[in-house]
This record gives sequence, C-alpha cells and structure tokens, in this order.
Amino acid sequence: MIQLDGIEKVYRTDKIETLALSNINLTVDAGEFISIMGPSGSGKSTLLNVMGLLDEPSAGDVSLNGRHINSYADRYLARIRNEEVGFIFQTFHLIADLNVVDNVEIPLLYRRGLSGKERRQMALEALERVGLGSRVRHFPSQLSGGQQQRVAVARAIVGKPRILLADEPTGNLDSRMGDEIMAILRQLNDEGATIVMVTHDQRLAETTERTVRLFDGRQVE
Amino acid sequence: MLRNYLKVALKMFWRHKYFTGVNLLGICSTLIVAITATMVLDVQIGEVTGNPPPEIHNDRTLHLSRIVVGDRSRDFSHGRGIWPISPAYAFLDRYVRPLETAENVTIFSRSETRGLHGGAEEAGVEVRSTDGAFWEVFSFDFIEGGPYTAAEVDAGASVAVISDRFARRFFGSIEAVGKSVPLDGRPHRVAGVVSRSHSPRVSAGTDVWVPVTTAPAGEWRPYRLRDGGGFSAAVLAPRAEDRERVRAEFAAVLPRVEPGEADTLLSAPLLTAFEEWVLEEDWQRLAEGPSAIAGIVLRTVLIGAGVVLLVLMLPVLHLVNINISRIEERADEIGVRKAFGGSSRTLVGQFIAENVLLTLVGGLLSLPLSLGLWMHFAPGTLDILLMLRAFAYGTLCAVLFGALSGAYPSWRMARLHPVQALTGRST
Repeated sequence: MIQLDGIEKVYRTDKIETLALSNINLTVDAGEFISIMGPSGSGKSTLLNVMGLLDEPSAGDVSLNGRHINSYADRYLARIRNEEVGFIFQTFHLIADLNVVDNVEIPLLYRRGLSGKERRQMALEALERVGLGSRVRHFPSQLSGGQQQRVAVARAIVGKPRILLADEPTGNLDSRMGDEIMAILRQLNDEGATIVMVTHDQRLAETTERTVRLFDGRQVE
Repeated sequence: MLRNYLKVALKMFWRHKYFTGVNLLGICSTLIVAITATMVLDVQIGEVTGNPPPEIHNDRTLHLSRIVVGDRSRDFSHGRGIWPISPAYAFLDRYVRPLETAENVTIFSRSETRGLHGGAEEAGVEVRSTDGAFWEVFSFDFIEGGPYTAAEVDAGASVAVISDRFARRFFGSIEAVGKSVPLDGRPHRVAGVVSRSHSPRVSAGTDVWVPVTTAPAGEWRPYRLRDGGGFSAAVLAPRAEDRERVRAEFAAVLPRVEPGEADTLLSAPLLTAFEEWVLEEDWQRLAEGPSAIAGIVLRTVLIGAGVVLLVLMLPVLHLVNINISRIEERADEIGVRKAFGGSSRTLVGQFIAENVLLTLVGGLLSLPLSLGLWMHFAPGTLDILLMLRAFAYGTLCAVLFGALSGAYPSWRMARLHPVQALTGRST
C-alpha cells in the first residue's frame, strides 16, 4: 500500500543543511492503521508529507498502492494526491469563506467526470458519516473544534481515497473530542482505509496496530 | 467548480470592503478611459473603413489629396526642398481623371470659407468647388431638389447645393430650392438641399457646394506642381479588389508627369481613407514613396497599439501589486487545494477567474458612465450598434485588464510549495 525505501530528506539553505529524514524504510500494508511518534523536530510531519506526495524526498523511492512515484511533476502528483490520499491536519485547514459542504466538496472539484449534483451528493454522504449531516450550511467559525475536525475528516474521505494521512488529528482538541475523532478514524479503518497517524499521544498510539518511532530523522523502532 | 471559486472570491471581496472599493474605483476609471478611447477609435476607424453616407463606396474609393514635390535645385534626397501639397485641379484633371481602370473620378476642392453677402447675416460660409461627377461618386441624401448637372458645371452656371444646417441658418427653413445664396457677391441659385453628415471626417462634407467653374479661371485652370491648388480626387474603382489595378495604372502614369518650372513630382499616392487617416499628421512621409506607405501605416498602427498598451499597463501594474498582497493572504487555502488535488495550473485559472470577475464588475459600472460621458460630449451620435460595440469593448477591456493584472500574482502564488502554503508561509 505505502512503500518507502531509503528515504532521505535534506533541507538546504545558502549556509545550512538540515537532515530531516535519513534512510527511512517503511511498508504500510493495505488496511493497516499505524501511528508515527517522536519528539518535536524528529521528522514525523516531514515523513507524512513525503508519504502524501506533498514533499519530494531528497533520495529514495516512494510507492503508493503499487504505483511507483517516478516523477514529481506538479500535475502528476496533484492527480495522485486527489485519487489516492486524504489528509487530516492538526489545525483543520478549513476555508473560512466556504460553508461546511463547500469545504467538503473541494477534493471533488479536481476529480474529472463528476457533475455538480454528484459532488454535492457525495459531500453530504461524507458529512453524514461523520455525524454532521445537520450542519452542512454552517461556516467553520460557527462550529466547535471537534466539529471542525469532523468536517476535515469528511473532506479527507469524500473522494474515497484508500490512504488517510492524519497529522496530529486530535492535537487541538480536548480529550472527549479527540476520542470522537479517533472513533471515526477506527471506524474508517474497519471499513478498509489505510491510516497513518502522527501523534504525540502515547495513549492514542497504543490504539493503533503498529507504532513507528523517529528520532532526529531516523527510524528507531 | 467555478461556483466554489466565486463564492470564495465574493466573500473575500466583501470582507475587504476598503480594498475592493479602491480597487473597483481604479478599475472603473481605467476602463472608462479604455472604453471611451476604444469607442472614439471605433467611430473614427468605422468612418475610414466603413461606408458612412455620403461616402457609401468608401471600400472601393481611393483618394489623392496630397502630392509631394521636390525642388530640383536642391538635394531633396536628404529631405530638403520637399513639399507635400494639395494638388492643382489641372494636375488631377490631366493625370487622374483619364484613368481607364476607374469607374468614376471626381475632383473637388477642400472646404474654404467664402464671403456671404446680402443674406440674413453678414458672415462666411464653408464652400467646396466640385465637378459634376462629385454627385455620382458620393451619395448625398437630398431633402429637397437635386444636384447640379455636369452640363451646368461645364457652363459655369451659378448654382449651389446647400446643407440643411446652412439652409436653416441662412433662410430659416430647409425649403430653399430656387432661392439665391450670394457667394463673394455673386448670387447662386439653390438646386438642392442635403442633410449634413454628423461625421467629422467625411471628406466630401461642407455647407455649400458649387461648380468648380464658378471660381475665377486662374484658381483652377493653370497646371502647377509646387503651388498646388487645394484640390482632391476621389477615384471609384469598380470593386474593392480593383483598387490595386487603379493604383498600378496611376503608378505607370506618374513617370510621364510634366514637371513644374523648378520642381519635380516625387510622390502622388492614391490612398484608401484609412491610409489617409493614418498619414494625416505625417504627410511629409509620403515622400518615402508609395511602396513604403503600407509599412508606414502598419508601423503607425503598431506604435498606436503599443502606446495604448503602455497606458493600460500602469494601472495593471498597480493592480498586480494589490493582487499579490490579496492572494498572499490565501496561502492556507492554496495549501489545502493543492493537498487535495489542485494543480498549479488549476489554481492559476482560479485566481485569474476571480480577478476577471472583479474587473467585469468594474466594467459593468464603468460602461454606463462611459456611455453617459459620450452622450454628454457627443450628443446624438450614440446609436444602438455603437452601444452594443461599447458593451463588447467594455467586456473585452475588463477581461484583458483582469487577466493581465491577475496573471503574475496567480502564477506566483500557484507555484507555492504546498507544505509552505499549509504552514502559512507565502514567500
């Protein structure tokens, strides 16, 4: 499902070179739910960005769903991200000017062959799945943090990607709301989604099938 | 997809009311200038490329209103001793009228002020002297009476055709046929009254037309080169595509032109109304020869277009600056759209579409203002077709303005790395 071989990521400026990831070899099987842990600056988010094709590795190979990524051309990556990956961010990243259902529709805007009606129907179904069917016309500012994250989850799953990448999805939520989000993620995993979650929370990591630990950009476990 | 884009754009505009207001003001004033200038050009170009009455055969007419002569005693190859002048009647009568490829040729003077005595008021009036063919080549709308005939011209009859405007001014009504107009103290019987064209350019227009033969013979009979005579010829080709044949025949005639006492003919180009219009302020350049004229016309048109573009570029650059800061605010949105499958190209399209929307709103506001200005300064000249064209120009200007001012900021922001965008770093 996700295959990383010899991944390195180096950030370079004129004077400084920072090694963010070093020799990461990782396989995530289809339907697996894994967590990535490590201290701040250990490369967790960078690893997630490389997996989600938001960032290009300095060295190494990435394969998603059996597709070897051999080009980092903008349009090619955009299409794969659209079809294969759904992102859930710690700070939700909802567009404040759009209401809930318009936010959820965003990934479908870039999917060919869907009519406006079909897009709207799929977005409403995704919102029903996260329990927000009654808030579709609300704006993000009118929702609680937990509800906003549920909108973000709906946006991540609306295009039916097989991979969900969650970067500290409960980091901005209190424990009750965090548990609600985790319950949704577990349910999605039960339905077949492959989930990789970055977290600082050992308690949450223990609920996943496997934990990958990073330290200074290296895989230590 | 567009609806999603536009929702964000409209919210954005609404949230930044001050920015939107200032922006709209700038867009409106720019578009008012652009639309009005385009309408002026449209009218002018329409007159010289279309067939505005009475010049209803403009598309197959060639004009000879300037010739260039050189002083043989000077080295005019260096540009000295060269004069562009209006040719003499006899020159045109001898070399243009006999053209066999032409369907008809008329020779007429420029409009000159002549004394008007014995009427309701002491004043001058604009008069043209013409031959008889003038009324065949040009198609005036006669309100009353008709033109004077070729026979009357040959006989030197004191007759005149007058405009409705002059008839009202001089006689107090347009019923003037048979009445007398005293020109330079000599009475002229009014043969017809025509409606005066609104067009400022029309080369045949004036207030009074009289036979050329009513002028003293010394003004039109002698053959001259350098002194000229203030006459023009309009040469009617059988069809528009025959104009080149007419030009070729005339070019073959030119080497046989009899020189003046001290002068020689350097150039006598038969020009379309459009070419004449372009060269109007630059007759000296006719000396470069007929073959260079097409190049001169093209160069002039290109320079004109370049100047217009430069004038438009100043507000465009200002708007580019504003747009960059506006789009930078939206780094987070760019990151989200990229993460979920938006390519750089799609995002460029989105931001340009938004900008074009804003400029179209500006266009909608500036169009009635432009039309209002037009009606104020040129009352009675705004017809429905011109309004429709103005709408098209307004839309075109707005789209062009929006696309130009949105292109660079959009390109710059759409190239933003998604990870940088999601962390809110727009540079």
